[in-house]
Amino acid sequence: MISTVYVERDVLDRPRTRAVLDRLPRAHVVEIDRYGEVFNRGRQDFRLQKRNPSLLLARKEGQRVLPAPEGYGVGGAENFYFSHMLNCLYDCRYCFLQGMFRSAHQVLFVNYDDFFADIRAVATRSDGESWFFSGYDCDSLAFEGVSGFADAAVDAWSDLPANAFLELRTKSTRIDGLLARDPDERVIVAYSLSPDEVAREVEHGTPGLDRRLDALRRLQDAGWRVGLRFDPLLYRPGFLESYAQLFDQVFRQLDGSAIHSVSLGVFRLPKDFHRRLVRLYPDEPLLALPFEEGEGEQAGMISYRRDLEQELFEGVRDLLMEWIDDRQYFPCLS
Amino acid sequence: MDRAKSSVDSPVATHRDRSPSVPIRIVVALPVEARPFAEAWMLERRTGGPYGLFEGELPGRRHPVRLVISGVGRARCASAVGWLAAQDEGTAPRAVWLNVGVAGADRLADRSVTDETTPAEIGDVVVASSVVDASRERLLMAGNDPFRGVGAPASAGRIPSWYPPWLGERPAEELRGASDPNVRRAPVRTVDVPETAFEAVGAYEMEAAAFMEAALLHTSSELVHVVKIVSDTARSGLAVVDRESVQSACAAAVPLVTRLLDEVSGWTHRSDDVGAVTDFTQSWSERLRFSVAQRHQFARLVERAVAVGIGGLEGESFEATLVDLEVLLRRLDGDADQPRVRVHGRRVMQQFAAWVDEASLGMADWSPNESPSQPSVDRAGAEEPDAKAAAGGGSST
Repeated sequence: MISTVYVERDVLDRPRTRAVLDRLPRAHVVEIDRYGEVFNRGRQDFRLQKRNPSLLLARKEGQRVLPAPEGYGVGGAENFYFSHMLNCLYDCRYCFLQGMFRSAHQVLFVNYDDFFADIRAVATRSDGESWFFSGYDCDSLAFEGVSGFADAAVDAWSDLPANAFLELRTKSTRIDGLLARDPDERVIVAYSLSPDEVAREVEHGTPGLDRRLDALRRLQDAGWRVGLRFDPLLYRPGFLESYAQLFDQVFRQLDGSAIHSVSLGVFRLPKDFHRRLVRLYPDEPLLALPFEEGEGEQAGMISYRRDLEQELFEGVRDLLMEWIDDRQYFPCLS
Repeated sequence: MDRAKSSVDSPVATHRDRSPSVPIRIVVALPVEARPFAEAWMLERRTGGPYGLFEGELPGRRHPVRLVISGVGRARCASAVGWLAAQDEGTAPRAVWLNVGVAGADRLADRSVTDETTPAEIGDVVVASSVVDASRERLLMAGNDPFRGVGAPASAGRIPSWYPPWLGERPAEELRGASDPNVRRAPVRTVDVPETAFEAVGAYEMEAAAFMEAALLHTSSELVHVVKIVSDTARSGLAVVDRESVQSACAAAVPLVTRLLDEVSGWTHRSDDVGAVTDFTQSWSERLRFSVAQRHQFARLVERAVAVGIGGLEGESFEATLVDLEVLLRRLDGDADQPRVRVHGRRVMQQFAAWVDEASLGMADWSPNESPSQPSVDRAGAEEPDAKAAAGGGSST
C-alpha cells in the first residue's frame, strides 16, 4: 500500500495527477517543489525504503528519449529507451536499479504527452525500424492500475510514424487494459522469465511463473505480439535442469513460432552498482557467487567468473535453440 | 560433532546472547517536555555533561534510549544532536532519532493539500510529513535570498525542507490507541520566535529544521523523525501555554510516541548478526596480521560464506555457520603457536577465498561432520592448503 505521495506543485492540478491521486484515496499527499529533493537526497537506505516505498508524481524535463546501450535490441535499426517511471513495485534482488538510485521510492512522470511527442520526433528523424523500450528503469505494466501509462502509450502509438515500435517489458499480469483493446502490431509485450524456484527466491513480490505464462498465453490468444526475456540468467547448482524445465513449460504453453523475439542475457552490473548492491545485501546468496570484472569492452562491468558465465550462457542458449529459430534469438550483450 | 555444543571459543556466543536492539536518540527542548517520557520509561538521569541527559530502555523492548534536553532554538538543538551523537563514538550508525516537543498550529492537513485541511486542536499529535525552514521560506518569498551570490549555488533559491518518510505498513494515524489524542501527518515549520499568525498549514515550532539537518549526519534518513504536540492554536493564543499544560500534553502523547518509536525501530534491517560478523572478522584479521585492504577482502569473504552457509547446508543457522568458519580457518591457519608473518596471512586468505568460491557454487566438499582432513580448495586453481608449511612446520589440524 502506498502511504505517501509526494507531488510536485507544478503538476498538482494536472488531470493525470488527479486521476492517480483518486486511485490512492488513503495515501497522504505532500507537496514538493521538485522530485529530486526527495528522490536524490543523500543518506537514504534503498533496502529500508523497499519496506513501503512512497510515490512521487513529477514532470520529466530535459531529454526524455535516449539511445539504448550498445547490444540492446531485438532487431531494429535503431534502439531507444525512455523512463516514464523510475523504480519498480517489485523487489528483484538482482535488479540494477538498487545500485543506480539512492531511493527506492517510485517516481511517475505524469507528462506522458511530452514523452510521446519526443518519441515522434526521434522516430521521424530515424531511417529504419526504430524501437522504443519502456521498462528499462521500471516495470512497464506493474503500476498500470494506478498510472494507466500503457493504455495511454498504445493509444498514442497508433498516431506515431510507422517505423516506431514499442516494447513493454514486464513481469506483471496486469493485462486487462491490453486485452480490452485491439492489438497493435507495433507494440510488443515482453515478459522477463526465470525458473520458478529462482523467481520465488529472488524476484520478491512478482507474479509466479505460472501466472506470467498464463498472461502471455492470453495476450497471444488475443493477437498481441509477445517476446520472452531470459535476462538475467542466474547461476545456481543444477541450472541446466532448471532452464530445461522452464523452456519446456514455456514452449508447451505458447505458440513458439509466433513469438516475436527471445533474448538471453547473463547477470551483469556496472562495478559501482554491484558494490552498492553488496553493501545493501551482504547476506544475499545470489551475490555470494564468484564475480569478476570484465575486460575490454566489458571493463567496468561485473559478471560471474568467466568460466561460470560461459558455462551458463552457452548451456542455456543451447537448450533454448532447441525451441526457437535463429531469427527469433537476440543475445543481450549490454 | 555437535555444532551447537562446539567447544570452539567464538565471539558469536556472546553476541547471540543479546536480542536485537536499536539505539534510540531523542532531543527535546525543555525539561518539562522531557519529564513525562523520562518518568513513563523510567529513564535514569545522568549528570556531568553540558546537557540534561536521561538513559534507559524503551519499555518492553531492549532498545537503549538516550534523551537529551537541548534548550530552545535551532543552535541549541543542533549542538545537542552533535553532542548526543558524540556520546555514541560511532557505535550507533543506525540509531533512530526523534525530536519531540510542543508546537503551535491553526490548521493541519488531512492530505497536506492546502484545500483539505482541518482545524488543529490542543493536544493533537503531529507526525511530520515534512519539515520546512519557515524563516528562510519567508525571506525567499519576500525576494530576499540570503545565499544569493555568496557561493552557495546548491542552496540558493531553495527553501530548506526535509521529508521524513513513513515506511510502516499501516499509516501513522493508525498507531493511535483508544485513549490517545488525535494523530495527524502534517508539515512542521521551524521559526525563530514563537508563532501566533500560523499563515500556513502545519505545526510551528523552533527546533525541527536544525534537528533534521544535524541528525541526518548521523543516521539514515528513514530513521529521523519529528513529532510535535499542539500546545496552542490561533484561537487559543499563547496565553494557554504554561508548564502544566505542556507537561500534560506531552504525558498524553507518551503511549503514542512509544508505539511510534517501536514501529520505526522495527524498520531497520541490520541485525546483531552484523556485529557478530564484524567481531569475527576483526579477530581473524588481527590473528593473521591483515592489512587494511586485506581486512576488507576478508570481511567480504566471511559475509559470502555466511550468506551461503558453510558447505551449503540447508537451513544452517547463523551461529553454526560462524562456528564452522572458525573451525575451517583454524585448519587453514595451522599451528596456533607459530609466529604469524604476512605471507602466511596471504596464503590463508587465498585458500579461504577458493573455498568460499566453491561453497557458493555448492561444490565445497568439506563439512565439520566429516573427519577433520584438509578442505579441498584446488578447483579454482588455488594451492592445496599447506598450513604446515605456512605456519612454519606445525601440524595443520
